[in-house]
Amino acid sequence: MTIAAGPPSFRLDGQVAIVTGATKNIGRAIADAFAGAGASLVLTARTESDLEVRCRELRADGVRVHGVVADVASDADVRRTVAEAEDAFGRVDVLVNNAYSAGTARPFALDVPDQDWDSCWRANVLGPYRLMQLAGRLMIDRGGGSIINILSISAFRHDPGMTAYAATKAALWSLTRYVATEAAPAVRVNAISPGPITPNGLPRTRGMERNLPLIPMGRCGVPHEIAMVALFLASPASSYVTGQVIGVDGGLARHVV
Amino acid sequence: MADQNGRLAGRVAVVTGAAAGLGLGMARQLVRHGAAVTIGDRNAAAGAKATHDIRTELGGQCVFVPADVSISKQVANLIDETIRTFGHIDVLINNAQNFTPWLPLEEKTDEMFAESLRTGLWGTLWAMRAVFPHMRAQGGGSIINLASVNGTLGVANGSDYNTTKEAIRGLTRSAAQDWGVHGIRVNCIEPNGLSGAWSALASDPAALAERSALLPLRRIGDPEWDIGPAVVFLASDDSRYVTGTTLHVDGGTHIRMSRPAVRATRPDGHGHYLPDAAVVEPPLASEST
Repeated sequence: MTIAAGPPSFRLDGQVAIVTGATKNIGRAIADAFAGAGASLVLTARTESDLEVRCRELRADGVRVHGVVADVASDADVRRTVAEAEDAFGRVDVLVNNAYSAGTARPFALDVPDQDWDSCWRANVLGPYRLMQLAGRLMIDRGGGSIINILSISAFRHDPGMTAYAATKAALWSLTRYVATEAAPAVRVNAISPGPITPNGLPRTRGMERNLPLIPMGRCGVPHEIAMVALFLASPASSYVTGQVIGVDGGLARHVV
Repeated sequence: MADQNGRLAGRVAVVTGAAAGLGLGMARQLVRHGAAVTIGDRNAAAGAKATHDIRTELGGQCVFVPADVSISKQVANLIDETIRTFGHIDVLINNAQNFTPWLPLEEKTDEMFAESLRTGLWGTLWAMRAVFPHMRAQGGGSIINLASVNGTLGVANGSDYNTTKEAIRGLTRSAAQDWGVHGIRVNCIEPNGLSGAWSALASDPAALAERSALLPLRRIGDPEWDIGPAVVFLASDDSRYVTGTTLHVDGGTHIRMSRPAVRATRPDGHGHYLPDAAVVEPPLASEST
């Protein structure tokens, strides 16, 4: 018997995906996973040299890729990102809001200065919102799309020093639900809440080491493990999933949401 | 067709209550992605037909084992037979669940609660216990339990069902904690598929359209093509750092507080918005996954 190819559920052939903060860590892994699934890529990063290297590597592998030097905290940069995506490929099917600002670690939640709030709000809420707004309209025009917002376990569980970062990530979670409801049915909007992620799955800081016994799976995660969840949410495999946050944290948060 | 190089190639999965409905849709999608599947069900005729269809239509490996999940010996036998047939077990999906009449809490009898808990909670626990030594010995596995947004919301007139489904979520998180060290991942899905309590809608287009309009994605999920791939995701290595979580495969049901009010096209022709404040109403009675 001839074995036909499997279902195309987890593929992104012919689709265009914007990934912000795509030269390092989770963003880099997501770009790799999407490229492997057949997508064309629009990648952003703040550092031009890193972005150039990244795009060159991907092109060498036959991936169609357009790089945009952009800071997600800059409204002008964000607008330019979507405009260039449209110019380069004529469409946007997937948006991954990955770039963020962690702010500055503060020892006391009642001592967060306004400048922290401002930088976290711009990078973690306003920038991702503008991208959802501009890319979302393109998706609605074309009849479909998938948006993925990268949150953090810090939004759901106490993470010392991360007050402004955590609160703005929680704001992005709320936005995920609102846009999911009102941009439906054309656009699906979901979120991923990564736990401790390191390049090799080993704890990188003393805090991570201290928390290791709290993780049921007993280890940190690696970027690839976030990327494959992002691919699920980007692809038709998650055709009936919207407004969801998936915790990818080895069971640390055991999301009850 | 079954993809012999698919993301579940070489994996063995057991799905309870898989002779029809959601369970069958999941089983078929698992086979499409390359898994060998044991269908467990108390309905022998339907189970045999489902198995035959999967073999002939999809060209995949599938066997049927008669099993009533309310009887612990039959649950144990379901797992034993799977090991005898395929040699190992990688994925367990606890889908079977009996329903009782929709009644307010004060009219639910002890027997109704016992029926819901026995088929849902106890059947799930017995199957998990039965696969545990096999999964531990091979260094891991994925268990997927069926919860329900009805339980999360406490939907009217389904107190025994709701209680059972939330108990299953507690069991899921507990197993994720205790068995994570063995590489065994345990997650829930809360599906909204066109089967089970929704099945009457399939033959009533007007009612189906009305219910569908209440969901953000405007349709009730297809068991094989909407619910199935989400289960493939949780069964596969794609989700290898995901455990203890609840994946809603429900078209956005779980984020809906209100029934959508009038929806209008934007003046510029793009998308939709809610022109009036949504009227907050209690969840619909007799909603079920």
